[in-house]
Amino acid sequence: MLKVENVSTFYGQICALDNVSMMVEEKEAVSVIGANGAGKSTLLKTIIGDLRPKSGNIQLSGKSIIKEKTFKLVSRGMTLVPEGRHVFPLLSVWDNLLLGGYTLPAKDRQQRAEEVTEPFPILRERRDQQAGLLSGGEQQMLAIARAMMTKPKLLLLDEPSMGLSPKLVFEVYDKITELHQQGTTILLVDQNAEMAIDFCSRGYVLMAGRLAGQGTKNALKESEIVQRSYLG
Amino acid sequence: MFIDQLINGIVLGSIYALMAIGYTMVWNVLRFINFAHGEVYMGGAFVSLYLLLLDTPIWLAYLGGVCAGALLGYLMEKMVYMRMRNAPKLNLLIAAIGISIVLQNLAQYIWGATPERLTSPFLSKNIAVGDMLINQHYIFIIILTILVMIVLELFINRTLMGKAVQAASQNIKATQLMGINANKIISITFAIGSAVGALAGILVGPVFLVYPTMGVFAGLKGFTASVMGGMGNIPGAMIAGLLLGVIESFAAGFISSGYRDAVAMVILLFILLVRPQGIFGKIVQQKV
Repeated sequence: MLKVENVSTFYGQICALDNVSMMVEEKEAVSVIGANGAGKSTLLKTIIGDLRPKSGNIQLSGKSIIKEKTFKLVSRGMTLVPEGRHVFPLLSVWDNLLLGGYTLPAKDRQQRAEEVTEPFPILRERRDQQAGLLSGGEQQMLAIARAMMTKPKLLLLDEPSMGLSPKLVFEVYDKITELHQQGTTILLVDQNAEMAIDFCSRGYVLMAGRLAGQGTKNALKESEIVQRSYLG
Repeated sequence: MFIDQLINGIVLGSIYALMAIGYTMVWNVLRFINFAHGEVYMGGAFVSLYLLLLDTPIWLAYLGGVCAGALLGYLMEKMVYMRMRNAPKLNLLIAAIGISIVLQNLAQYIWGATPERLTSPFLSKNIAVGDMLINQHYIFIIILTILVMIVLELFINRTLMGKAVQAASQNIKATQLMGINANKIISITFAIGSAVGALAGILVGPVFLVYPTMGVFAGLKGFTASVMGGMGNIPGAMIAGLLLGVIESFAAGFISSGYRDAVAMVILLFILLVRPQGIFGKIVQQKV
């Protein structure tokens, strides 16, 4: 479904991603782990069209998306829940959701908002509250529900556990697992290696912008580099 | 005397409010002050004047001026500001001042520097309210301003596109993740703000005349009102515009017309010192 081929991305003169290749098959749950500054967010930003790679190619469902703009990629079935959630703080929870469905026909938006909030009852309870006043965990759930409004084929998640208490991290991962079980393909990056590996069926390890390893969940868990650097 | 000055103030304030809306809407999406906004005000008035010279029906000439203002704002954004999206804000500011000077000179080249009076179907008529006579054009300005404010309020708060404009003002990158073309939202914002600014120019044309530098002071007052109201706050800009007009009018009537601008500026300075976020501006609390 998603194929990243020899992609290199730079911030000015600094190489943030160096010749990275990876792929995500349909219905898969794939994680990318790595330390802070390893290039995980850069990878997702490059895939979603927020950053332009200097070289390499990215294909979505067999078609190159290297020059596609972010908003067009959403219509093509891929979206990102960014690091830090980025909800619209002064708009209500419900307006945030409706904006998530901006590309849907007007008559379908309310119905879809009801559907995506089914696993998140707290969002229904707080539908008229300003999104900026939700707790961090609630904002994360809103960001995920909002991304689901367009029924994406591929959902990218950037650091879903960042800034959340351990209890909330489990809750958020439970919801993500539920979405995956319902058929959404997921590519997730997280510093929380343990949760990210447990969630995925396959994963990649990024170190200083380069791929340092890859494999199935069990292979990753047993990998020396992962054991030493992330699972201790 | 008091009522006279109050009505003059509301009329003047309506114009400032319309101008302030343009500044504040553009600030919302791009976080910069479009100092060429005064030239949209001037451009709209000149196009209406030109259409009237061609014997266009007056309502069509007014509408043409508003559309020309919207187009001018749209083109400014597309041709200059969009290409400077990643440039430092100071560059944008200088570009805006440059556009402003170029447009003033262009207007002078095309239409000349002599002030001209725009026709109004109401200017020669008065309405008697008690002992007072109120010019019908003044009533026209107030009614139209109220209508514009209602339409804008409905657009911003009741339509999804209006909410997309609000979303863009809060987080433009996240807006794109909703599948929204952020550049289109910025263009729409520019066009709406500019149309409203052009309408202000057309409305004052029959009273204060039309000339190439007419937007300079009106722009400054609109900018002042938008800061007073809390930059980025549309209802705040509207109310602060009205307030500024009334204050100026009272200063002119009860102190001296020579000090009206100084009084308005002293109040602005006071507000900035006491409430830097503006009268209606909020310091946003956000849980992280």
